[in-house]
Amino acid sequence: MKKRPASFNLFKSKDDGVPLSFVRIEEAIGGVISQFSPPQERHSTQTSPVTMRTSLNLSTRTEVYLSDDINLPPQIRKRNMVINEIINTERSYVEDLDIIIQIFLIPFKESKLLTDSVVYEIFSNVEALVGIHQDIAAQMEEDARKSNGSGLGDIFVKKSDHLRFYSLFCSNQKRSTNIVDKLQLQNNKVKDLLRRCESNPVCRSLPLGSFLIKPVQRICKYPLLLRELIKVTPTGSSEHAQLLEAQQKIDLVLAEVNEQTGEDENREKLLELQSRFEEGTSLVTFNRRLLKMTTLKEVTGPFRTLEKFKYLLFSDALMRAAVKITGKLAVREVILMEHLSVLRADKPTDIVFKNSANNNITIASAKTQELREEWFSAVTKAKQFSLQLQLKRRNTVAIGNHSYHPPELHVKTSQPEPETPAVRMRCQTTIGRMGQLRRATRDRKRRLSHEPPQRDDHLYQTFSCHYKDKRYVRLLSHKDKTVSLLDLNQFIEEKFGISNLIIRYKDDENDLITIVKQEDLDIAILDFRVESFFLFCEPETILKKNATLTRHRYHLHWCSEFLSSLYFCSIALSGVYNCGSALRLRGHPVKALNGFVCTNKIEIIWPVVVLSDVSASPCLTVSYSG
Amino acid sequence: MGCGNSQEEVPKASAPNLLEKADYSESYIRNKSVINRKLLKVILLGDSGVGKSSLMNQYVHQQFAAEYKATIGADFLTKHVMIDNVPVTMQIWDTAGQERFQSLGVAFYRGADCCALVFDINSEKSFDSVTSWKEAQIQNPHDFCFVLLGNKVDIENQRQVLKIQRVNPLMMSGVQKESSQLVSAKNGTCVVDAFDCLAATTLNRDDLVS
Repeated sequence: MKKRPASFNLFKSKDDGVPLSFVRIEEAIGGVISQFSPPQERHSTQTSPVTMRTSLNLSTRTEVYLSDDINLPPQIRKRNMVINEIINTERSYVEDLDIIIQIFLIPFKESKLLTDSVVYEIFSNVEALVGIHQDIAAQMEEDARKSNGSGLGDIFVKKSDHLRFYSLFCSNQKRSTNIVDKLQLQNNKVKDLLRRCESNPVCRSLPLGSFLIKPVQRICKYPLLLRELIKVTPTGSSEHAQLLEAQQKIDLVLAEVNEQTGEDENREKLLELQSRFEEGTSLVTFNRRLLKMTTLKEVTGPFRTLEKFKYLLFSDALMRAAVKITGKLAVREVILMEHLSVLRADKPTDIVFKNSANNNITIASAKTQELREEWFSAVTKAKQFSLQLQLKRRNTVAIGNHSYHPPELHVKTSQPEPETPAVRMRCQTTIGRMGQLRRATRDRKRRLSHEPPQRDDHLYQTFSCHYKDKRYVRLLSHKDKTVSLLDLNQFIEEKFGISNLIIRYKDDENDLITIVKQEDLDIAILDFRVESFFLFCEPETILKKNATLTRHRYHLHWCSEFLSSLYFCSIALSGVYNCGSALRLRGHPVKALNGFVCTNKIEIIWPVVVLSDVSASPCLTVSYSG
Repeated sequence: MGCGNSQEEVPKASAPNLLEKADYSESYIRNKSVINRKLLKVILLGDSGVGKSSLMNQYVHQQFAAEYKATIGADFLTKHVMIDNVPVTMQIWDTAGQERFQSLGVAFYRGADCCALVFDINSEKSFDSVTSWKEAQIQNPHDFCFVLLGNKVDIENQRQVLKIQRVNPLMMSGVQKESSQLVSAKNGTCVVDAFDCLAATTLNRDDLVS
C-alpha cells in the first residue's frame, strides 16, 4: 500500500514550528482539514493491512463510553446507552469510510486503470467526509469522557454545516453506482481489481456499492439518533435546548441535501428525456420535474384515426408530443399548469384535457380505466403542488431578502482599511481553454522567472489574488512544480506587501500548497490532487469589526474538472451567507441560489473572497444581488 | 450495530464445524451452490416504531432486544436460506431514517426485488400509512413484489387492527395478499415463515415475469 502523501503530516504536529495562527485555522476548520491530518491510529492502519484488519475487528465490539450499569436510574442508563450507540455507530462509520479509501480508492488511484476523473466520479468527495467524521467521532469520544456526553448537541450544532458536503456525495451516488456497474461489464481489469479489493476480509464480503451507500445511510440516521437522545434528556436543561437546536440544524441540512440530490437526479432525467426530442427542444428549467409520461391515443386527422401521442406531465406544465417516424418526439402543445384542467369523459378510458388559455380541448384515451384514473389523480396532485410551490416561493423570497442582505460588508469592501486591509481575493481555475491558458502562461512568464514545464495543459490551474482591487497576483499553478516556496513567498510579499505570509508548498508528489497569512487574513489553500482544492478563509479580523458578524467561516470546496467539462462545485458556507450551501455546475445554466442571481457567468462575491470559474464553457457567474 | 451485525455473515473459507448441524445449516447452504444462489433484496418500509429493525433482527439472528433497542440497526442483514430447494441469499434492508427523504431513499430501493410493508397491528395509523409508504417511496411499483406484515401480534389484548383480511382490495392493489401475515418480532411468531413465504412469492413472481 502506498504511503499516504506527506501532505498528511503537514498539520500533524503543533510543535514543529507551525505558527500559532496556523494552528488556529486548523482548529477552526478542523473538521474538513483533518482529512489531511488523520489521527495516529489511521497511520498505523495504512502501514499494513493486517493491523487494519485487527483494528477493525476490535471495533465490532461495542465500546462502553458511559456506564450502562443496571443500578443506575433508568432514565440515566437509557441516556448513556443512546450516547454509546451514537458514538459506536459513528466509529464504525468512520471505519467503513476508511475502508472505502484504503481498500478501494487508493488501489484504484494507484492502478491507473481509470482516469482521475472517473475515480472521482466513483468515489466523489468521500475523502472530505472521512475528515469530517473522524473529527466528529473524536470529539464525541472526548465529550463522553470529559463531560458525560452532555456536549453532543453542541458538536452536532457545530458540525452540521460540514454535513453539507453530503450534497455532493449524495447526488453523485447514483451515477457512481452506474459507473461501477458499467465498468464491471466492460473492463475486465477493473473488474479484477474490484474483486481483489472486495475479497479483502475487512470488507466482510460486501461489494463496493454497499460501502458507497453508507454515507447516504449514515446522514439519514442522525435525526433518529438525536430524537432518541432528546427523549431521554431532561426538558428544560441547557443540554436539551442544545439538542433541539442540533436537531433543527441537522434537519435543515438534510432537507437541503435531499433537495439537491433530487434536483440533480431530476436534471439528469430531463436531459435524458430531452435527447429523445427533436433538436432544439429544451426541457430543463429550474424546478421542473417530470411526474408522468405515458402514451395516450388521440383521434386525429381527416380520417379520424387513432394516433399515439406521448403525454408528459411536468410539475409546471403538460406536454403533448407526437412520435415521429424517426422515433424522435416533437412537441405539439404545452399547457401550463394554471391553464390546465382535466375531466373524465363518458367513455371509461377517456380523459379530457382542457387548456383555458385558448379553450382548446383534447380527448385522449388511455389503455385501461386504471391508467385514466392514475392520470386524473396525477394531474390533480400536480395542480395542487404547483399552487403550493408558488406560495412557498413567494415566502422564500421574502425571507431571503430579509436575512441574506449584508449591506455593511459591501460598504466595507469598497473602503480600503489601512490597518486591516480587506483583501479581495480572486481564485481562478483555468483549465484547458486555450485563450486563457495562453494568457495565464504569459502572465506567469512575466511574474515568475521560471518557465514551468507544460506537460499537462489540460490540468493546468492558476489562482490569482486581487488585493484591494488594484494589485493582483497569480499565485500558483499546482501542476507547475517549478514554483518554489521562496518564489511564492517573495511574490506575495512583493504584491501584497505581506511579509509574514507563510506558504507551505509540498513536494511534487502531493500537489499541495498551503498559504497561511498570519494577521490580516487567514487563508489556507489546500490543493489536493488534481480534482479538487479546498479554500478556507477565516476573515475573522475583518468581520470582527462588525458586531453582528463576529465569527464566520467559509469553506469552499471546489471540485473542478472531471469528465470533459463537467463541473462540480460545492460550496459550503456557514454564517450569514448561508446561501443554500451548494452550487453545482454541470455546464448547464445554474439555478439561482438564495440571494444569488445567475447570469451566464459565475462569480461569487463575498466581502473578502471572489471565486470565479473562468474555465467552464460557457462561463458561469453568480453575483451577489444584495 | 452498524456494519457490525453483518460481520457474522462473512463467508468463512473453512468452517467445517458448522457443517455438523442440519443439512440446511447456513454454511451448508452457503457452500452448496455459490453460482446458482439467488440474491433477493428485500426492503422494509413502514412507520417508525412498527418494528422493522426488530423483525429483521428476529429473522436473521433470532434475537429481540426488549431492554434497549438500538435506534439504528444494521443497514442491512443477509441470511442464506433454501427456498424450494433453491439456495437464496436474502438481503434485508432496513430503511430507518431515509424514508423521510425521498431523493436519498432512491438509492436503497434500487435493485430491490421485494418490499415488505410493515405495520403495527395495534396502531391504526401505522396501517393507514402503509399505502402512502407504498406510493410515496416506490417510483415503479410494478417492479416490486409487495407483502404486508402486521407486527406485534404478541400484544393480543390491545389489538386494534385486524383488518388485514378485509383490506380494501383496491387500496392494496399490487400486494401479494397470500403472503401477507401477522407476525411478532418479539417472540418470533411466524417471522421465519413470513420471510420464507415472501421469498418464495418473489421468486415465483420473478419466474413468471421472466
